[in-house]
Amino acid sequence: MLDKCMIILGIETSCDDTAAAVVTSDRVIKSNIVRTQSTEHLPFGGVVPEIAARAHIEVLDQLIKNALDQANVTFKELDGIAVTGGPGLIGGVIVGVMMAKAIAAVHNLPFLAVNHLAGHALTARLTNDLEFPYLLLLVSGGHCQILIVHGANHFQLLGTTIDDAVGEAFDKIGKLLGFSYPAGPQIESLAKNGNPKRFPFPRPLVGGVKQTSPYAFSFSGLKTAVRTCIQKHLSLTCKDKADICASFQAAVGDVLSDRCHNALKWCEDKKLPLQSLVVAGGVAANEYLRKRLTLIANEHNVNFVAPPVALCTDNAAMIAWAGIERLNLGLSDGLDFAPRPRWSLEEI
Amino acid sequence: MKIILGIDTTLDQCSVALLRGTECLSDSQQMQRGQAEILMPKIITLLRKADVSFSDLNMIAVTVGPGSFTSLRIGLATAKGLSLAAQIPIVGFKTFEVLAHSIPTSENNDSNLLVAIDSLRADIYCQLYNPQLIEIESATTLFPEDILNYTGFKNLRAIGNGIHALKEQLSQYHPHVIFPELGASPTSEVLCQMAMKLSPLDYQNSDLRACQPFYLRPPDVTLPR
Repeated sequence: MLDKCMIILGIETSCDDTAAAVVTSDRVIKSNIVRTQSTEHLPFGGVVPEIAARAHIEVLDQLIKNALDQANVTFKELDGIAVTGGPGLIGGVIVGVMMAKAIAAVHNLPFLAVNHLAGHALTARLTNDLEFPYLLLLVSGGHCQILIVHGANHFQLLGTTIDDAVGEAFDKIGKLLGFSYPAGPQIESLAKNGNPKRFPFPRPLVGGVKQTSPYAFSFSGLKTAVRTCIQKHLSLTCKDKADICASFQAAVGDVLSDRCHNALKWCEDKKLPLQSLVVAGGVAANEYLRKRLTLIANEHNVNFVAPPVALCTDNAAMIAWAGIERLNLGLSDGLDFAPRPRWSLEEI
Repeated sequence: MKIILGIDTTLDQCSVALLRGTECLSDSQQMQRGQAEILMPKIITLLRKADVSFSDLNMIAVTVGPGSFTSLRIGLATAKGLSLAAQIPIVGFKTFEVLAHSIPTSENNDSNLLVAIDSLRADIYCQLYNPQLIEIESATTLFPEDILNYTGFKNLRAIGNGIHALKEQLSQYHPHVIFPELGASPTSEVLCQMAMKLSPLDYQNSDLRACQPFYLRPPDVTLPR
């Protein structure tokens, strides 16, 4: 199986992007289509699960067809169907899973239920020459975790957020500042002209003599501090907004850097043969945070790997690739697979 | 001979049927959750039993709602996937019409027919047909107190799992209203038979986008103030 180049169709419907992609085992992305639903959710200031599910079923079959056409591949040429099996908004996950099962049944193909987070976690192996194990910082709208990736099917969770995900913090603060969802890109762009030192926002869990949770995250305190700051100013000038964005982003940068530093140190103490720090998930699209993480990687003499931005946000190429990694391990799933709203990487 | 696969997951069940000419094999299971797990294995078992492969199918018929949003999408996403992968036309039927056609023809008389489906809320999904099962009024959601405005005072039969909430209102003005002990869930056999009766013109032009969910209720969400 390893010798032949495999072609996999990937499907992703776990949040507010409908996506289909065709990827080969020699790491060629033959097509990668993402239809974002942001306009549908825009009036509500966040993702509405039922609206998301409705939008997925309306377009998914046509999107799959387009992805195959663009890749110039027919169903018969495929070696497997990979689909996000969770975690995510269950109504959307179900739409993707059912369509994938149907295609797999008709063409008698291996059905690969991929953990969405594993998709993010393994993307760097699609885009870079990257060996296991590596340290992964997974930062998105729904997740914030530090993991050691020992293998495509073996993840060790070092720490996760005790409240909000980091992308969630970006979105909530963006909402307070009147930005549309998702707010990450607008905050990043405004922060470029802001003073990161003007507002001394807290760095939750960072520092202190006794660190009880050196790899955990917390963003709700930071969020509250930013909200209080915004409410204190009766009217915010552009400069104020830019300074708030820059100060907030700097706080997030400090938190992520500190946590990665602790995790890398832990790996050094355990003498893990670690060569890379990898960042993945939607927040990894933030250039400022990438720069901060590069510095930490350099300090610890490991490579810093960040997939291209288009592969950091939700997409189906990463799901197809994670499916290929499963196939390479000789794994596939039954057509009685139950879509999973919650699915920790450690349970894989 | 035409072979049709029917799929229904709209109202608390997982039901699949295979109609070949006049011979019908089916498998229906009452369940509120878990259709996503058992639907595809059920279809495969059914086809295997009939010694039919996906490429032998001439058409897929599916119930498009109304019903539970998530469960109607389970059947529809599956049907769409099969249609796309095997290049088979797909036809969608509303839950109302499948239930309406579940009544034995001998029972058809000069009464209108109300099909009422439980929406799991205070209101009820309703569709009114004339005795020939042609839609008289558009499908709608109604509170029990408004039902008489919708049905009028003509002779009426009523079916569906939503009739319990309407019984009191209807019985006051429709002394002869009949509630056939039918219509808890649509059956995939009836679905197949309805599809079988379609003329080629009815489905020839159906493309991938023609078969869409029929929710009859917008997503439950309010705009932020």
